[in-house]
Amino acid sequence: MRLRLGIALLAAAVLLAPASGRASELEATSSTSLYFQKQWRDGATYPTTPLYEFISVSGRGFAIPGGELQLVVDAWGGVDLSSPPWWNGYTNSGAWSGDLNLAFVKGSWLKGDLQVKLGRQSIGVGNARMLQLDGLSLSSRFLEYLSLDVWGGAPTVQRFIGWGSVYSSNPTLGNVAVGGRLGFAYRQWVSFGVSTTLAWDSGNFTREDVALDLKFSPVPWMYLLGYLDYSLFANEYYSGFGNQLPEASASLVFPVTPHLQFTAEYSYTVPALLLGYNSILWVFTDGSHQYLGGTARVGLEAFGLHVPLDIDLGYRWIASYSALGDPTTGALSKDSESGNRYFVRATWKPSARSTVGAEGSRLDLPEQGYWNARVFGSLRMYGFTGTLDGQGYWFDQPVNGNTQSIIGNATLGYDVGHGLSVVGAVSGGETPYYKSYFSGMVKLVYNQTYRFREVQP
Amino acid sequence: MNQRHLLLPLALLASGCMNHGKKPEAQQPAPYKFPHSTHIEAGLACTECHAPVLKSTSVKANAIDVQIPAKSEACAACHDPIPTYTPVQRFEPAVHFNHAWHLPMVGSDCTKCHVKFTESGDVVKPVPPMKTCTACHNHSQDFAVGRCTPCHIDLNKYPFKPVAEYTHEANFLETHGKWARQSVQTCTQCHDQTMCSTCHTATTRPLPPSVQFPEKVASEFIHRGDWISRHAIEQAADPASCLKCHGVQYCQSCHGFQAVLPGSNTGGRLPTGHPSFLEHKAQARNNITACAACHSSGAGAQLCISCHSVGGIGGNPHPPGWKGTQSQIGSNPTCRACHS
Repeated sequence: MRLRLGIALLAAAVLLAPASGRASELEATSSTSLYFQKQWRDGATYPTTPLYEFISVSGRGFAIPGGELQLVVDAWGGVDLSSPPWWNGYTNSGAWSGDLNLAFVKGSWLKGDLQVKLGRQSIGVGNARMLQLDGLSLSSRFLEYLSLDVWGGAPTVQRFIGWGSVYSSNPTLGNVAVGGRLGFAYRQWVSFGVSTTLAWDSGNFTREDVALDLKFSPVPWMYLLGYLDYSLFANEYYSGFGNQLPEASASLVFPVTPHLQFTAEYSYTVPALLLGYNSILWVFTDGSHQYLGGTARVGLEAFGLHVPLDIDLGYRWIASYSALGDPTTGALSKDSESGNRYFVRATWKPSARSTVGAEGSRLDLPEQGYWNARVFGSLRMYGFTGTLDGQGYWFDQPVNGNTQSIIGNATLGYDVGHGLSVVGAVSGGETPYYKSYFSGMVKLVYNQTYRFREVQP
Repeated sequence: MNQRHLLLPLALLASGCMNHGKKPEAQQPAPYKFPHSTHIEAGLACTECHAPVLKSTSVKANAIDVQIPAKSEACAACHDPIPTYTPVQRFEPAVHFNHAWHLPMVGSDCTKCHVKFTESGDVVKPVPPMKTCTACHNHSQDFAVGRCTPCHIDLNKYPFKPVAEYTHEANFLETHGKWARQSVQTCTQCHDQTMCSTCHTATTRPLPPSVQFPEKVASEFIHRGDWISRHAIEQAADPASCLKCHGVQYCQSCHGFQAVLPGSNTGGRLPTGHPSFLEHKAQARNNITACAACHSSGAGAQLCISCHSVGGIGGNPHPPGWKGTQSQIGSNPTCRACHS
């Protein structure tokens, strides 16, 4: 771990220092957060006080032969001032911990039509599902209408603790992953692509998927988005096309104006196929979920009214299907359940400095569900920014013996100037797991962009 | 993690800032003083003062494309004496542009593109609207694939938001992945991946965005508020959505390694909502990902295998439609967990 982190930082230093005079822009953000909250462990609560430093540095415009270079480092480090330490995403890692979210160099040539990225990065193209990867990716556009993305490396493992699925909380398990997408786009009307993601853990497949994606826009105010991810691995073990689709979806999006938009969506998932294919569990299941619904944003400004009020509405029908049967006896029964999710939100922006909103939702499942209500607001004046946020959940069935959760938050920030701001936050309430919940944060944020220019002779 | 390694990024940042921060450009340009409209109405040709643009093949930083003649008849026609004027230095170009090539195309009529000019007291310089470019250049193919850099120099600094495809309103949080999977390059025209990593680094990030940014009350954070109490409910509603960002080991870090379970303080009782023995078959068939939170590997998985191995009392767990064959056992180690 030390060696890898050291190499990454050394590479960053080498790239930043000698080429500094040629960089056109360096964007740096530093956020120091002291957080305190009581955390529940094995029947008791313990005070936790982690101190985190988040750093993000992005340098653009480094001149290289025929193109330009970008450097990105996004990292954090922390120390926990209490014991047991705050849970920060994996096992207790002691008082000190840290990780790299991103650390890559990107070269661009041919006016951006050829890009190569090396280092820790996220792969979002095709069916990669924003895979965090330590590796290399190449993105290119050619022959006017075609694009090719290829990538490969090792799925990121948190805190550099090791490789492989035994330790990794990366959704794409394994120690090697490769993939890519070949795409075609014609004007604004249509684009589609075929992509693949393959991952192995010690030589065994953890993902083996191919996918098709489509965007079709016959008119500027309507888009059809389609996606179908097919598991080649499941094809060898399950019959039935539906049992071999980790996910598929079709959406109609109507972006009429920023204040008048509608979507309709159908999606299908086989959750077990999002587990690693080397998991023993995915051979037990025969379940799929389907969703059908839509959303609408209706803003009064869309009708010529000078009232900055937007209303968002959403509905989703939820259905799950599973086969209950014994292949030995042949007895088979299909089990299906359905539920509904409703959502409404109103956002009013009386001025550029203030926002007031209210939202409510209802999740209705066969065995559980909840009602939710939330109000929030923010106001910025004289360099100060204050926010209030309160929300409650009322559960259909008790959670840990309680049927409601109510939390309120308040923050106060001050813009010191020169990119420096201070934020204080407190949160309190009552939840099923905390009779008296309280947390707080003090945050110092530094956000600055340094521009430099390479002066041409 | 070694303390020294944590200090390195800070030192690096400080070093970078100090080295580069000594000569930052002025962020706020000086106000413009020249009243363009008065001179245009007087019928003055633009090239009287902007002669350099006739030969300008690129827009350069630091350039001043103004040359006011010391003795100009055009100026002297109205001014006596001719006032002195120091042109405002252009801060940084936003687009690649060849004036010399374009001027003949518009009959040297600058107003074809420059529909608005700076006036005395203006701080911001109006730039030609994009429609003046697209009036001649077929832009739709570049637009479709997000190929902006042939003209735009850096959209991180000069973001654009056409109404349709690049609008981030309404339920963009829900749909943005569908747009992004087609061409991440389109997103990166405006956004660095550091913006994505605020949420999309679930493997490495120690705090969810809703905790790290409590002041962003209008943002649509998925895990906002008391997520712990309702995460099992949300998982039942859409189990696949969890697994797109979190591997099951993420669940086990609490439910397994740290024994954070409702009731775990009372002698290892099953968590609230755990199915009884008689119900576990239906649960496994319907939502095996909930089981995976504890039983995907190690001792948890052994609990399943102990009954469901070949010859075990649990019988054959494969669902209807299973078409795995004996010949596959040799090539798949997962099969050999139960099939010796």
